[in-house]
Amino acid sequence: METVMVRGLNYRYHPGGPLVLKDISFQVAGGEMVAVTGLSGCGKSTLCFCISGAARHNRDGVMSGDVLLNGKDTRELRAAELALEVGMVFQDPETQLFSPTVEDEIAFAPENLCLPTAQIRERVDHALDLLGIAALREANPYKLSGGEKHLVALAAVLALDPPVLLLDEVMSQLDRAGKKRVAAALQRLRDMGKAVIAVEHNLEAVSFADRLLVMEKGTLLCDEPTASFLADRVFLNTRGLL
Amino acid sequence: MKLDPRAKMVMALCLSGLALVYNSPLHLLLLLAVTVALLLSFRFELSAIGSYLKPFLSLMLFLFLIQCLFSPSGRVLLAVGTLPLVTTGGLLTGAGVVLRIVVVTAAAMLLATFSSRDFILGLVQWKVPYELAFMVFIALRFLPVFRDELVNVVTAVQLRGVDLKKVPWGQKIAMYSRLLFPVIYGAMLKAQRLAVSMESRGFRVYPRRTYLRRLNFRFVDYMVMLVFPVITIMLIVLQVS
Repeated sequence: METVMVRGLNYRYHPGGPLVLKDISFQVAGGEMVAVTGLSGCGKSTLCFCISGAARHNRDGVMSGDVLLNGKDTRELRAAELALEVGMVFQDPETQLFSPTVEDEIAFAPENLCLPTAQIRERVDHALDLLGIAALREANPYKLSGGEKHLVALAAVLALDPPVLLLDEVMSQLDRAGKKRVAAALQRLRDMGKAVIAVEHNLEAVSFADRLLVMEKGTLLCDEPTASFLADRVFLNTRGLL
Repeated sequence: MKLDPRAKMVMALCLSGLALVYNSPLHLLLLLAVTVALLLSFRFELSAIGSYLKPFLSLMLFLFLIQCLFSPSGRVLLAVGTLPLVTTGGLLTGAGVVLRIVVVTAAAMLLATFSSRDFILGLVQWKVPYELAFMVFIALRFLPVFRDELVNVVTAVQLRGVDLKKVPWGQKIAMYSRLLFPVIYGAMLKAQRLAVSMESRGFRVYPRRTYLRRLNFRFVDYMVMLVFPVITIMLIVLQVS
C-alpha cells in the first residue's frame, strides 16, 4: 500500500472560482522522497494544503478527488487526527512558532500525543541533534533568524514522528550550511521509511529526491526520476526552471 | 530568590488587592517599597516598570489633577475667590490614585519574573483547563506582535509621504480607522494560520496531554502562599474596621 495516494485531485478556493489544482494524481511510498517544483502560482503550496488537510480550514474551498494517507481518506479524519498521519512545515515559520523557548516549541507535539516525559525528552533531543540546532535549545524562537526559524519549525514537526512529511519551501531561507543540514536530515528520514514530499523552487537543493514532480498552472506536467529529469536541460530551460 | 510561579501569582494578587483597599499615600508608599524589594530579590530590572508606566503618564497626570480639583479637603493652598483649587486633602488623594496605579503595575511585574511556559504549567497544575491557560498565554504572546503590526502599517503610511504630525485630528482619526482594517485582517489571518499549525501538531488530539516539565512546590513556596494571604486578609480587615 502506498503511504500517500493522490487521485484525481481538483481544488478551487471558492465555488465558481478558477481551478487551482486540476486532476492531480500521484503516489509516494514509504522510504521515498518526492520533490515538487514549478513556477510561482502553479499550485504547489495548495497541493501541500490539500494533502495535509489544512485546506479544510478554507470553508469556501471546493475539493474533489481523493487524498489517502496510509489508506485513510483525509476527509474522514479529524484535523488533530491527521497530525498522526502527516506533518507539515509551512512556508512562513512566523505563524508556526509560539513557545517561549525552542525546546518547548519542539516538545509541544509529543506533549499533545500524551507521551511519557522521558520519551518527550528523547524526541526533543533527537530533533535538535538531527538538524544540528542543539545550541538553540533555550533560545526564544521569535528572536531567531529566518533560516533558524525554519529549522526550528521543521524540528517541531519531526518531533511528531509522522509517517508522511510535507515541506513547503523550507530551504528557501536557509544558508548553504542550513540546506546541507536539512538535506542530510531528509535523507535520514527517508532511510527510516518516511514518505517525504518537498515543495522547492531550488532544484539543486532537492537533487537527492527520488522523483521530481513538475507543476504548471495547476496541472501535473511530469513525474520522473530526478536524475533523468535534471539531465534534460532543454526541458528545464523551456519551462523556466533553470 | 527562587520561587514557584504560583507563589509569585499569589504575591501579585495580594499586593494588588491591598493597593485597591488602601487610600493613604503613606500606606501605598510602604506597599510600593515592599513590591520593589520583592522585585529586586527576583533580580528584576526596575527600569522596566518605568517603560510600562510611560504610556499611562498622561492618564496619571489627568487623574491627579481631577482628584486635586474635585476632592477638596484640609488646608487650602490655592483658591480662586472663594473656590478652593488646590487643597492638602486633594493633593493627598491625587497622590494616592497615582501611587495605586504604580503599585498595581509593579505587582504585575512579579508575573514577568518567570517564563510564560511556567505560567501555563502553574495554571494547569492548579487544574485550570489547558486550553484556557494556553489561550491566555497566546493572547499575551501575540499582543506585542499585534502592536508591531500596527507600528509597521503607520510607518508604511509615513514612508509614503504622510506627515502624521501635520494631519488634523479629525482626519487622523479617520485615517487610523482605515488603517485598523488591514491590521485586524492581518491578525485574523495570523490567528488562523496559528490554529492550523497547532492542529497539525496534534493540539487536542487526545482529551489530556503530558508535559516535559513539572513545577514542584518547596517549603518556601508553601510558606509564601500561606503567609501572604493571611497578612493581606488581616490588613484588609484592619483597614475596613
